[in-house]
Amino acid sequence: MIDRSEKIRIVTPSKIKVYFCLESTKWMKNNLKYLNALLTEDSTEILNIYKENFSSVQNFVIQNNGRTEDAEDVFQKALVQIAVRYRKEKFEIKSSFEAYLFTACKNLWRRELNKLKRGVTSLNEMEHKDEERDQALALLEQKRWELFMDNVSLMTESCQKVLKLFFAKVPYRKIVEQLQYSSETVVRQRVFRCKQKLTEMIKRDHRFNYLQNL
Amino acid sequence: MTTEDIALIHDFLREDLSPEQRELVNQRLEADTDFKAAFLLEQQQQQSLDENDWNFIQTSNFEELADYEVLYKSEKTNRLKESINTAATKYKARGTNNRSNKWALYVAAAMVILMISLFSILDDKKTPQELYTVSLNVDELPGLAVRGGTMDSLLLQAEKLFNAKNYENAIPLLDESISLTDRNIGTLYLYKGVSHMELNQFEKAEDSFNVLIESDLYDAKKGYWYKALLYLKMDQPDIAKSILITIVENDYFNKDKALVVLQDIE
Repeated sequence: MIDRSEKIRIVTPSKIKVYFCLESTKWMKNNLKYLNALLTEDSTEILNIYKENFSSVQNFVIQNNGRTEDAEDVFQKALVQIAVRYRKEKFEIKSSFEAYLFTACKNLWRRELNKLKRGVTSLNEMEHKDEERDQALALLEQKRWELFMDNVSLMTESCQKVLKLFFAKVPYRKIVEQLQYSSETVVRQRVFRCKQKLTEMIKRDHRFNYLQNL
Repeated sequence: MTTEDIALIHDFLREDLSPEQRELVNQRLEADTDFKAAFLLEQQQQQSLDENDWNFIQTSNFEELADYEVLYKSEKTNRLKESINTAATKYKARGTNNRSNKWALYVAAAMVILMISLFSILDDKKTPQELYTVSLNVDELPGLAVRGGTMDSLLLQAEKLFNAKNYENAIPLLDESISLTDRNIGTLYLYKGVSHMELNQFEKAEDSFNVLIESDLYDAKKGYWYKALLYLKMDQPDIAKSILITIVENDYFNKDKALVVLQDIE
């Protein structure tokens, strides 16, 4: 292992927060610029979105059992999804536009992989007619995912770690090893407490009331 | 719901129950509405937060769904799709020598290992490996060959091998080029460093980036960005973070991207 410890600088979280504060104004400007491009159908600015973002999405999709055509498809769907959602509710993108777009593409691709896994047939004439409905469903699923993710992010780091393994269906005995708990019983108790807290937080979230019926 | 009920639901969703136990749960779902409500919420969380799964909406009659459907079918959305198609066409037609097209063809053989999870989604947090994958963009590397240059054939061959991800054969040509010329040498060190990095030859990669950083070449500061990516690939995000802070503080190459990566690391 390369020892580069002598070159590590002490970086304080406050330093990073200062930069984020200074740069968040720039992010907001960029977010508005790209959102405006989608709302005004500005193909020149949309081309810039492609130049800045498509290659990373393409890399991701191809590394996850997809092809370039699949990457093109999810990229376009993600852009339309953002525009349609903004037209209805002017939602806030809390990160950079690039990060949000990447996450939206990632989820759309994940959705496609699971459609195939569950035996939904690839596009036939009937599905094509319902494509708008399918995309509307995808948008609502994205909103529900955000509800869960936003609340997970509010949990302690230790809860996040154990829940990550729990949701990945890692066997309890392996969670014991990876997180160095003393026994499976302790892991189960920890998971239960963290899950319980997560569920309570989700239920208190103002978005829960209308998303729970989906 | 009792603790035992929730534990039973968890075991069901994690497929830890026997067929007989699963059947009992299914029967209870039919008969007990409170149990079913609790089950559905647990299922939604499980499917949403398991990166290998997805939570599909089951309800078809929902006012907000109808609203979104109308928007998707609207003329404005159709115009947007046309504009996106126009942009996509221009993006794809950026030139036959465009490296990104070649990169797209060969990225399926990517050297990045998909780590603990393919989709590191908690808190939108990506693993260092994922951050490396999405941050490394070889389109940012200038081309090697200079028109009319005496070393064109050597450089073209090196670039071709690099684009084909044939790093083992590209490296000797890059080394030869470095020994023969002073022109474009910063870019050569970048190609060399990225090649070693993709081959997981981390010390050699770092050596290349350090030569660049410590030089007075025009491209010197680019070395910091790739060195940060190197440490992400080595799964040492703390060191990567310190390098990214240096980039931001000094307004070096890819400062904006460095901020985005810093946020993801945080």
